[in-house]
Amino acid sequence: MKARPARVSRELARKVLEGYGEVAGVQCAVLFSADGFEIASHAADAAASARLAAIGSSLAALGTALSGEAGLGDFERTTIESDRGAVTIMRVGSSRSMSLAVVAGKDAVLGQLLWATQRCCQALGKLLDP
Amino acid sequence: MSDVDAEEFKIVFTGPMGAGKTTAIAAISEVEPVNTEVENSDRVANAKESTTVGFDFGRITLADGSIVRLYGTPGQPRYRFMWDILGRGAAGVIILLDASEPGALVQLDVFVDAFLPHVVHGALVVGVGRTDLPDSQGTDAFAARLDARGIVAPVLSVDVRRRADVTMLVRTLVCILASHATHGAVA
Amino acid sequence: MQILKICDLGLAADTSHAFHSMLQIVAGRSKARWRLAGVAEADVLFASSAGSDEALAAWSGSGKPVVLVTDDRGSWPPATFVLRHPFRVMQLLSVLDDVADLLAASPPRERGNSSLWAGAESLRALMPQAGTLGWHVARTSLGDEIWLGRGRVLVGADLVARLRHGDFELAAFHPAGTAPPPTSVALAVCDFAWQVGLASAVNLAPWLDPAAAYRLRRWPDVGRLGASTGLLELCAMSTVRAWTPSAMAQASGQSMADVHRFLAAASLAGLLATNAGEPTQAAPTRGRLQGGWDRFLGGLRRHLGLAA
Repeated sequence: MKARPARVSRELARKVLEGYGEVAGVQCAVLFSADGFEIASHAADAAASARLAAIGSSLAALGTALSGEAGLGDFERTTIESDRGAVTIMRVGSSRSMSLAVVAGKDAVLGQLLWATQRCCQALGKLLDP
Repeated sequence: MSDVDAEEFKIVFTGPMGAGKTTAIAAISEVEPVNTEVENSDRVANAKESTTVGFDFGRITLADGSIVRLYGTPGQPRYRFMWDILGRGAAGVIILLDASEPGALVQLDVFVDAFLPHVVHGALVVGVGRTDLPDSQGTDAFAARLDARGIVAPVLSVDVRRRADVTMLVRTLVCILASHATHGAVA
Repeated sequence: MQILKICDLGLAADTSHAFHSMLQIVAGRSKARWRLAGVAEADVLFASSAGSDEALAAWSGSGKPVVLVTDDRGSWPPATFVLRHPFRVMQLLSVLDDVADLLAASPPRERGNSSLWAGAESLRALMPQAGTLGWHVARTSLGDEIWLGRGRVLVGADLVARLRHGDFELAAFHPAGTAPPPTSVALAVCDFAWQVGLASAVNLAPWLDPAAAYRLRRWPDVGRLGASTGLLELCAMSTVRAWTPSAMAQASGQSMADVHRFLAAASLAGLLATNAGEPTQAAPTRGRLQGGWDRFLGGLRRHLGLAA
């Protein structure tokens, strides 16, 4: 049974997100459990991060189902591109029990964003679920 | 609304976490159901190991050849947005409840409120599990709750692990849909 | 003046003696002329609640009235006509006159027809008090016992499946002097009432009106009871609007017999309402001569001085 990360870990995770938040174009970031609970967030109020966590978890689960259905193995990440920006959801941790949702504006360069997000996820993974 | 007359239509299974939505769809689906279960990190709220966070998807074919798509929603209120997404275009809804949970009657209200607006002619069936346990409410209590809201909908004692019980829920719902289509609703 | 034959059964010697003496005293004062007779010829049975169940069971199939003599002062009276022991002449006279009224008002009972509905009608009369009722028992035509009381129905395990399939015929309930066997299986009263209705005769139940429009005010628990698709359809259409029996048969394409059984089941289970919104299972009011059982209840209330 995997309990949610302890307070200290979550605080450290938040610091990681803060650093990552400096990346150009990132509006906010939420780290959440597979069942939709926020673990740590940056630049998002409580209500917004709760909603991002819930919807993000559904997308991650649907992504898993779709990848499985297509015979393509594990779900890694998905990006929802919209009028004024994009949301990327990326897996975190070796047990894949968490994901990171990042909201970025149009000024973000998608490639750079994904690379920075991957680095962030790796750092978070090392911290919380090595 | 035309979904009701078409040869293919959609039924949604909903209800609080642990009531058996994923189990019910798995019990009757002709195809391997799609599910989006993940580990439950909040064992305090519910001891279940896993929980649906996207939706379940299954399918059955009725005797007359109609295809029924079955969707199961997540149970927790934080997934309310999924209730709306899945509820849209549903021909009917089956609310599953656990009679041994103290809040079950309140949960009935929650899901009736959330889904009744989506289904034409109030095509609703309630399935209540674990009515045989000593502390459980009987189906009468749930029927009375609906009576109080002016809703006449079947309340069935069921065990969702049993295919026959889940089939009965679907058969009953389909009869309600057919009746409304054939005989119309009172003006 | 009516001549009515009465037989006493299972009374203690002194009670029996007192009864016989009192019969002579009330002669000339009662509405009917009372004659002692054997069980086979009697119109009315005068029995002790502590007496033989077999004899009572044999009597119940006939639909003829019983006056129950009981020592029990505490619990809710177990039957329609009850005398608490020891009783006085005036009390006996009062009960006998009520029975005489009942028999005078009822159409002559032919064994054939009346027994078809005797079971259902006795159940229907007892339903409103089912929650507090003392034990009553009825026999099926195969001799199984069905117990009704305290808000439950108790049957032997082997009967459960046959009830579900409508594979039984029910005689009238009568008060039981004993309690049900401990190995019995419990059923909800409304479930049992539904099953009795479905198993009943092909004609419309005598208490229902072929010209009235009926609707279902609540579904039965078809999870517990099971139901054919046809029965589900009748339930569903009855929640959409009210139907007369013939309109229901026509619209559903099902037989009148099936429609009648559905209506009997729904009515007995307390799920049926007329178009005007009144339940068809309304408690009987005084003065209505609807049939034997309504009069029974009227008599009981009068005896006990209860409000309607």
